[in-house]
Amino acid sequence: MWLKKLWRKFLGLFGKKTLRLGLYGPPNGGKTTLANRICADWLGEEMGSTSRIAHETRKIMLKERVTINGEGGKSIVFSLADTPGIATRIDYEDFVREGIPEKEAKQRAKEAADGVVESIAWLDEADCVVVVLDATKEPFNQVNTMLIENLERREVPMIVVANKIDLKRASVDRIQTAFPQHEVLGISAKHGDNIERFYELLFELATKVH
Amino acid sequence: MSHRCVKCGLLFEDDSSVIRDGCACGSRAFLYVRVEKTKISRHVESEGDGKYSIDVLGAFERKKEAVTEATVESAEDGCFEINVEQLLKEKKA
Repeated sequence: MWLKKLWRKFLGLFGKKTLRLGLYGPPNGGKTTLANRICADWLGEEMGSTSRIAHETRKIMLKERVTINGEGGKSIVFSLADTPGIATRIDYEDFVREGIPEKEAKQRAKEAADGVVESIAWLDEADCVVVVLDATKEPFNQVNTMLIENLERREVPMIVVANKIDLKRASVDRIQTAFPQHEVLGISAKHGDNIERFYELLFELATKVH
Repeated sequence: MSHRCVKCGLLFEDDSSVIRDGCACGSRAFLYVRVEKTKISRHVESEGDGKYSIDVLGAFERKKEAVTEATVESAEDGCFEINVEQLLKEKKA
């Protein structure tokens, strides 16, 4: 681990450092929608498919060299990782209820469980993280709490976003109250609400990476 | 102690070059697990439709292996209980 960090520092002496940014959070929070928004805004292409059914992303999707331009000609370069949603229980019957055939649902459940482990394993690679939470849902649960606490303990710079603020049931305050130690930014990845502020925070995040 | 590939579930001994070079499946992420050398083999055993005695993720079935690192259990056909807390602890810096 320390050797990898040293190597990256060495590479950083000779060019612009590429930061590894991971989008993390529970399933169906809008991680892929946000990844698609970032890629569409800065690369002109989307990253992955989205669905109303949870666990649509079951493998880490990586987009290399996403350059984001800021004020005064500044830019940052990210490797963007869209990760599978983290959950403590995955039941194939949830997929069956959404109309997926049983055999396919069981395979999907296994892949989703695989994806959770892969997501957490990739935390070792991440320089910084965006925690994507669904603003319409109760944020104070085991997964959200453990994820944020673990990132804090590891001193991984992070932004917490409350996504889906375009929906009536959304409440940024509810998420801010659950995690008062972080400034929570309300966004709509789907419609682009507050996305400029999000990019500003990404710049600030990049400065916190050692 | 051994290393298990988080992607394909293969187990490798401590001194395996795979740990340094990456697994044949392309993954470079391994979980550090306690397992006897004799058990180092592919642990993906299908017991029928959607049912696994030891799942592909590198977790162990507690009843069989009695290891503390259990992180993912196939509790019943097609259902998975994931010990996120344990996984995060294993990844603690």
